[in-house]
Amino acid sequence: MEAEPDELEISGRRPFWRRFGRSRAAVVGLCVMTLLVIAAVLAPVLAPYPPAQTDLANRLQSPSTKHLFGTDQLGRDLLSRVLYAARVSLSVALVAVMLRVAIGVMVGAIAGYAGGMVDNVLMRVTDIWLSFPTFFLMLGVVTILGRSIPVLVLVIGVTAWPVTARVVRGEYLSWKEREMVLAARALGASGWRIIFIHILPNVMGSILVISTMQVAWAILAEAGLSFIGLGVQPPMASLGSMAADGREYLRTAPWITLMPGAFVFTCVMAINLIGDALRDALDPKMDVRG
Amino acid sequence: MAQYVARRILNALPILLGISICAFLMVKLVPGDPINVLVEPDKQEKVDLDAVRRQYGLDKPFVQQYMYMMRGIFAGNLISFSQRVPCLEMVRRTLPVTALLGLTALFLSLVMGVMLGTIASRRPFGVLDQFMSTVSLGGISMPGFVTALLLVYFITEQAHLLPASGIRPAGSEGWSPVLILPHMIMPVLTLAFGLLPEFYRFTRSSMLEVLNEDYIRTARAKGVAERGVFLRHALRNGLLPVVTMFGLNIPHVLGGSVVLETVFAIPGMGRLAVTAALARDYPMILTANLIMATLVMSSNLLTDILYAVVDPRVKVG
Repeated sequence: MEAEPDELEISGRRPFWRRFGRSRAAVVGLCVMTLLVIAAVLAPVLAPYPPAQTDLANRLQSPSTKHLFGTDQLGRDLLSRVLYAARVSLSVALVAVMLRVAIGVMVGAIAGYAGGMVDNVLMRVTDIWLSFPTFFLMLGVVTILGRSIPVLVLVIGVTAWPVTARVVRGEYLSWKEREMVLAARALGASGWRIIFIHILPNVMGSILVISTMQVAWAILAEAGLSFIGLGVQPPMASLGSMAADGREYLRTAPWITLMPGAFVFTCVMAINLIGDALRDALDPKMDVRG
Repeated sequence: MAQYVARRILNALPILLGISICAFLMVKLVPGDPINVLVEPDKQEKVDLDAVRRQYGLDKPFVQQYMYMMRGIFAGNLISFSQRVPCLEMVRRTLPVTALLGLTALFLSLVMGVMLGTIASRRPFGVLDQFMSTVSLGGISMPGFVTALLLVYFITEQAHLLPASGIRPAGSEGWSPVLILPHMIMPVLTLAFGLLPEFYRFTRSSMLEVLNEDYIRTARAKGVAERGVFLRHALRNGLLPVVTMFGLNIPHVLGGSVVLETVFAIPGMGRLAVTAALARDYPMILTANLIMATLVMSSNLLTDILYAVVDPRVKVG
């Protein structure tokens, strides 16, 4: 799972992708992820049966050539259901992460660049926020604001922005002192301009790595919340709620629960592989870390 | 040293304040009349609403409301909607269960992770390392409920080896290990599977970093036997950061317990919070969050202090 260092160039964008490409695991991860995303996006085209079509004569069938993933307690084809549910799960996770990264980068950049009092206050807020165990915080917000998709996205997006903010802040703290920034300031560039146009492009690498890990986390969080019943509500199905539905039939028809679970697992694993390789590619030193 | 501890505690106080203010805000954010948060809407005819308003200072300015609310929570006056008992009492009953499971899982993954990570660091990218890397990847990628359900499927449904619900056999009381242990095994394993990767990776990288240090080379050059080098010099320095890891994972454990306790029907804080959320039991969810956040903060504080005790390089002046 390691990437070899490039002898001649150390930093910059091209060697980054080259190092990334050298890791077999990352390439596998990327392929798997692409396949899964395409499958989810093309669900209406790929699903062999309509996901809501019940067929009580064929309930609880194990996986077969007719129903690749088997059928559930109402005779609905699981493969189709999983594909449609994946759309929901993946889109929720994606939007939530975009929200989280947006907030995190803003706060981190401002804290890191401004320094002093602003930094102190923002870091305190971060500390307070991080003290709440994430799941409990999510439960709290869902209780207050009710259960719906927008709330779900909000909850996953907003509960963990401090992690991104901390990393971004660290980067900004170090970049702030570089000659490039001093030069820009000498030329009269305003603070906002420096933050966005000068420093941000360089920090993108770290942000990319963090975002990848966050997508993995968001998918797991959405699955968990939906599993308990606080995420996606019926009639919409997500991978987590499908798994919860199948619990009663665990003994007789374990595929109802395990198929959506397997999808989540594969997704998250692929993303983790990509994220690991991105992180190794970002760090130009010969890194023996695991 | 005492100064350092005092300073850390002092630093932690504003955070504690902030946590309670956040909890208070949670109440304020509920749309509608705040009285609906404190007294269940169906029961409102029977209760003297004005008395409740005065008790929680709802007619007073914000700051006083906050103080009354805090007093209400800690005096045990805040009654849960669904459980009909003071929220604090519910926490008192369920927290030990979650703590037991969580700490056991943490301890287990700590010991296993550190052992395996240390052994793997002697031969990086060797057989053990590759194997553990794969297992670690699995551990962090598996959703908690999938691991739990897989365990239930194979162990309970197919092999009938262990019970799959509750923390003790139905109808029994007390904390006898004989009763509790069979019920604990699967939940603890589920939690530990998710935690092991962290400890393993961290120990491995920490040990590798230490093994590359100059003083290790010096010791070897001096002629110290490899075993002595490893045990006396490398291990002590390499394992130091693991102290911090333990404390930092407590929030993960608490969060993980939410789904876990739902699957295994364990009467702990996680399930308490879920029931509260499903029933829109505001007082309960509020108290749960407040207590949890305070716990996390305290554990962070303890970790900081412990780190200062263990590592003499940390400045305590």
